[in-house]
Amino acid sequence: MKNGAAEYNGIITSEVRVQLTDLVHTLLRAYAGKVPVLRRVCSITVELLDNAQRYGADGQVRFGWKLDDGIVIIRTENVATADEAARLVERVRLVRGLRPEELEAAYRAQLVHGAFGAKGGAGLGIMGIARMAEGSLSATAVPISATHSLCITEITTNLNAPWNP
Amino acid sequence: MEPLIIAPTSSTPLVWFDRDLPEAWIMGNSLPENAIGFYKRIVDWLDLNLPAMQAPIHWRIRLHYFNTNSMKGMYDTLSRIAAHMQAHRGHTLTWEVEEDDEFMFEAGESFRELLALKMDMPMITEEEAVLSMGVMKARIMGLEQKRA
Repeated sequence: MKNGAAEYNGIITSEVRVQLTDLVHTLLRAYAGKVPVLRRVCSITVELLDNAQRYGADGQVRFGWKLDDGIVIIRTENVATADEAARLVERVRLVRGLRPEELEAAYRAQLVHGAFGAKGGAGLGIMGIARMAEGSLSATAVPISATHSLCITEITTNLNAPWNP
Repeated sequence: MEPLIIAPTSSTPLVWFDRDLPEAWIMGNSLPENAIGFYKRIVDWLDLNLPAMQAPIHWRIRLHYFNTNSMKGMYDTLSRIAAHMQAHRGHTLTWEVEEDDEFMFEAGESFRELLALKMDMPMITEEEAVLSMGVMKARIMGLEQKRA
């Protein structure tokens, strides 16, 4: 397995999300070979970019991907309103506090009984990422003005870890 | 009864529901920004047309990438199909999973459990998925040309 990294900084659209996910798929194949968690890492990428697009305030994203000794790090940065940024940080804090079985129960309850929010989100994204990421999930909001913050979301996951949702 | 035919895009799947055909398909990527709008169209069509669809149909779902918002839309879609399958014998449902796609496999298992679905989950290769998508796209283009 080789180490590698890639970065994108620009507009975020549905087409860009697909292209970046394909890029991660291709890079992982090239650097790590046919690893069983390849599609899981792609799914995490989908969710992070989905959040960045849905809650972003200016249609831009900085996306970073890195493979280092079997550990994948995926990071998104986007500008959001201070309220949206605070909501994201709080949601990640809550999800990180759940035990795996609690997370699974919350995810399923949201899937069955949840409704779509004002921005078209189903409230499943962060829970979905936490279920898939074997390593850490973090979210930080850095104020950049009185009304907006820079949201930084990062996950690390071990390519060799088994997945038992 | 008008069939529901939606051509695929890079972020939305191909949908082909037609009561006069033995197979109904959802196939491709499903990561629309507006999942509620995309899946509402499918659910509305099912609510309107399913009661008249009594001849056996093979419902086939094969997704490549999909986001969790689509998961919610898919749950709403499958719940309609599941209820119809319980009331009418002969319908079948498959959730086709590309090799090594544990996420899609797990999603299928969740649906199977949550909706008590009778659903097969065959494995297919990536090449099969690409090939059948090409065939379906060609059929849609042919249909559009005929209509024009």
